[in-house]
Amino acid sequence: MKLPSIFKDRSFLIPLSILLGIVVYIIVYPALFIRVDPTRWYVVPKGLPPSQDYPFGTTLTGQNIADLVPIALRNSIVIGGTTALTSIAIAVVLSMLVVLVRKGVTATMTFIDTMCTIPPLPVLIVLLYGWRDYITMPLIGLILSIFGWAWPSRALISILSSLRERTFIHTSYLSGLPTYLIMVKDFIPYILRYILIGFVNLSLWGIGMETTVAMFGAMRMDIPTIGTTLYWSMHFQAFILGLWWWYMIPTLFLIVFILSLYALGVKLDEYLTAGV
Amino acid sequence: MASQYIHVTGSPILVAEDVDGGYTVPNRGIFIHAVDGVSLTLGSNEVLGIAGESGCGKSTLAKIIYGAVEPPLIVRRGKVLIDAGDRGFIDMLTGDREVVRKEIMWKTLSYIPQNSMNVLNPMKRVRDHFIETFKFHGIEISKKDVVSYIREVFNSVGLPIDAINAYPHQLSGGMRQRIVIALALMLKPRVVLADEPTTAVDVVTQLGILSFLKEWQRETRCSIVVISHDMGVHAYMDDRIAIMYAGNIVEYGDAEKVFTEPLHPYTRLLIESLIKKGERTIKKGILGSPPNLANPPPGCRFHPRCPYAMDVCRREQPPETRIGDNYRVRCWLYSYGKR
Amino acid sequence: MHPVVKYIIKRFGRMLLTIWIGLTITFIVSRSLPFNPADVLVSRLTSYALQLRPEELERMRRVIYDLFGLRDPIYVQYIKFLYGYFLGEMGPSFTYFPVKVSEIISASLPWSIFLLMQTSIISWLIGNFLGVVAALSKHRRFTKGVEYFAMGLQPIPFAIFAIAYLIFYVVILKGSIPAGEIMRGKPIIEVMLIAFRRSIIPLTAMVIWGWMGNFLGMKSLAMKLKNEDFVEYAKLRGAPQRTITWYVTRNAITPQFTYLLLSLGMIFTGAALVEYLFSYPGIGILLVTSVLNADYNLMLGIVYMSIVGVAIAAFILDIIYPIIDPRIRYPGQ
Repeated sequence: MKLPSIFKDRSFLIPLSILLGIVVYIIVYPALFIRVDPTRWYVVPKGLPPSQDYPFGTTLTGQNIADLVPIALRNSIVIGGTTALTSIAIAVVLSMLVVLVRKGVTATMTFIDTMCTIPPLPVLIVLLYGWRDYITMPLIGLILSIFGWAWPSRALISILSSLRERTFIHTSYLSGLPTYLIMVKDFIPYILRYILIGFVNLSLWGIGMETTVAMFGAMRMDIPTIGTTLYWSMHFQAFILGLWWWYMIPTLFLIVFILSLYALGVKLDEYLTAGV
Repeated sequence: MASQYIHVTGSPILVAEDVDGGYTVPNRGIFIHAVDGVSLTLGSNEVLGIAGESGCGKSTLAKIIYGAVEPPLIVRRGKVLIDAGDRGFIDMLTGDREVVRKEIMWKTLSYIPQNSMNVLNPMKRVRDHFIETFKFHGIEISKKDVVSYIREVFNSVGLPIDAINAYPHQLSGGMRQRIVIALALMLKPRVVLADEPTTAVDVVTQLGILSFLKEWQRETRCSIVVISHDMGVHAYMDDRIAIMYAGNIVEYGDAEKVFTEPLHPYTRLLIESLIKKGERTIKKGILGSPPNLANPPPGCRFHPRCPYAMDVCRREQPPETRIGDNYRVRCWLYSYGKR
Repeated sequence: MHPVVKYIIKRFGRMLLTIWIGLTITFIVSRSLPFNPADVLVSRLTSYALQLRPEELERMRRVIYDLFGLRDPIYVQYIKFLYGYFLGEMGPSFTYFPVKVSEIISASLPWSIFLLMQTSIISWLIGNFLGVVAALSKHRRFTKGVEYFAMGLQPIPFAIFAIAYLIFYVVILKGSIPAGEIMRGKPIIEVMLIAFRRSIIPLTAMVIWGWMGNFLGMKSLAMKLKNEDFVEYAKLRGAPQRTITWYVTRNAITPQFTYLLLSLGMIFTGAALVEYLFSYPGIGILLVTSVLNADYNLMLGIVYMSIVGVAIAAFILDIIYPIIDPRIRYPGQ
């Protein structure tokens, strides 16, 4: 079987391998190497710089960063992924319905625009703080998607509206194709590209919001995510005390993950639209 | 200079000399050879038509003549000389850009673009289009004078005066077309390039536009180059006509002669496909389709569709043959044995 | 009726709609929490107060429930809630009991709106200006470089950058964070200067990050526009380069303005974080305080007031819109 040409492109392979490396780190490493629960505090000696025993150093809360990072990153990614999934799902269904049914379009668009202007942070803080005793990672993602669906809906509606006017849709409609089939067969191939981009962007947005909310102290702070890790490092004055490994290493991992994912998304998009 | 070229009525005012150009597709090394060694002469006080199918290169030729050459359009060789009065003849392609922009464009040589419905700036009122055009050419003129001037032009074109203060989106497509024509004529240019002036409008408006242009030409004794795929337009407007096919001019001469006694096989098929009054015969189309200009056929570009194609046609491009003073044909049928 | 007046009325209606939706969201959020804020208040008060006998405790609980209207059926609660909040009556803060939430917030909200408007307008201006320059420039390589730079940084969450900026400023530059100054009783110009001075650091943090989004959007828009028919037509008519630049800018501003309006909510989020990190006396710090103290009244008040703040900012920008887009002033056929 011949590999698609994209696998020969270096600027695709590099982000892909980085991503795979990170995935291995966050899945395989905890299963094989972690002996002590990394979320528990005061387990290892506090505040040690990176060394042989502790390759990423330790925190002032007595946690081993090398064990902490995969869990934190995994949690952040789960949150981002759930946000992206739910938001895109809502946006896709909503936009297709609105464009196909045509009634109440202005009302829906006004509503969507309003949802775009509502600042998410205070609402998210209240919700996440209030529910923090019952929270799980996917639930955080769901809560974030309350605000995540607005922007993609807007973009999708404008794409689909102009698509709708094209003749091949008219043909499907006039031949009696039921609405849901028009949605699946005609619309989806066109918006697949947007869904891909949107998924990446929304995951990143989700991770960003989670980090921000965590820095306000509004989440369940004993669950490690990149955001809570940063919060604790701030709280314990890691910046001033010079414990750079506490905040830099998790952040670096996050940035590398984000950039590789984004680069991958861009490259995939390029590849998929090469013929256009 | 004039003696090298075909004798025209009056002195030549615009000369295109062996113009060759086309479009490059970046990263792919493809060159779409839209204009292949074209030479034309336009005299004063005459209407020259450039006719041909869609995709034969006539719009590209128009752009090159006007000097609107920007990537991906490139000109490989050739000159486009325009009579700029005191400055003598200036080459539109290599002349000083500032001089060309300010003194030649619109003042001496002006352009009516193809899709005139969309060329007006949606954020500007109609009268501002006129005012700023004066400004572009360094003409100081008071707003009042501009408005009264526009009134005049609008009157002759048949536009209501209120349109002056309107925004483009408030006007209909036909009105916008006429505004674009008014704009092109506003500085009373000596040459007007009209690129498909009738394509997007209904037949009634077409006649209105054409008769207006003809009237204008007669009154101001300017010259017009009409580019169109519609042979009916050419029959109505042209004094002389050039037939273009796949980037070449295949026949070029007095319009009446071309219409009554077409020489080139392509022209013949074109003319025969027109409906004449009282005719009852069934019309034939021309078999086949125009060649791909990125990879044109060897020899004469028309040979795959030509009912008279000979061996030499498949091998070599026919040279231009002069027939009499005012006529040229590019076909092996007329070149064998001749100089 | 003059079209602009109609437009303003419509936009005002939108603002009210936003506020109403905001109120409804606040209400739903407050009632959907898995516990009763009133109980929290009661337990806090009892920890301050002396030992109470059970009847007294019960009576206090009932009073507080009434205060929150928690004994009425849900739709009555909703109406009362709407009514109260709309008039600015958001109850007492838990942390600073019995100081009213509205008082606390109204001291901080102007600061936040000030920062919000500065940031959004300045990032927008810088980003759009650079975007047009980049789109029309002939220095392909350099502008491509800037574009990749912006594209590469964009996906990184603002929170990371904010912390990095904080570290950079405090640890490396050893800069100081201005403390509060007395503003009461001073002339308005001085007050504005003081406010501005205080906002410089959070402002720079946000603008350094904020211009990129506008830049990328404007650049791609301007590149599309410069190939539009009416721009080419202007060139044909002999327009000099600066007119072309102006044409492109003028026509790109309108959609970019819409984008500005819609991103106000997200800018506010970033602003809150920056306010918190840099001790700027806006809503950001209040938010942190309210979380630390489990002060639900304050939290809900902030939710509501931020929505109002952003809605007002959006309305102000909306009013400027007809000046930019003549199609509002003269609707076509």
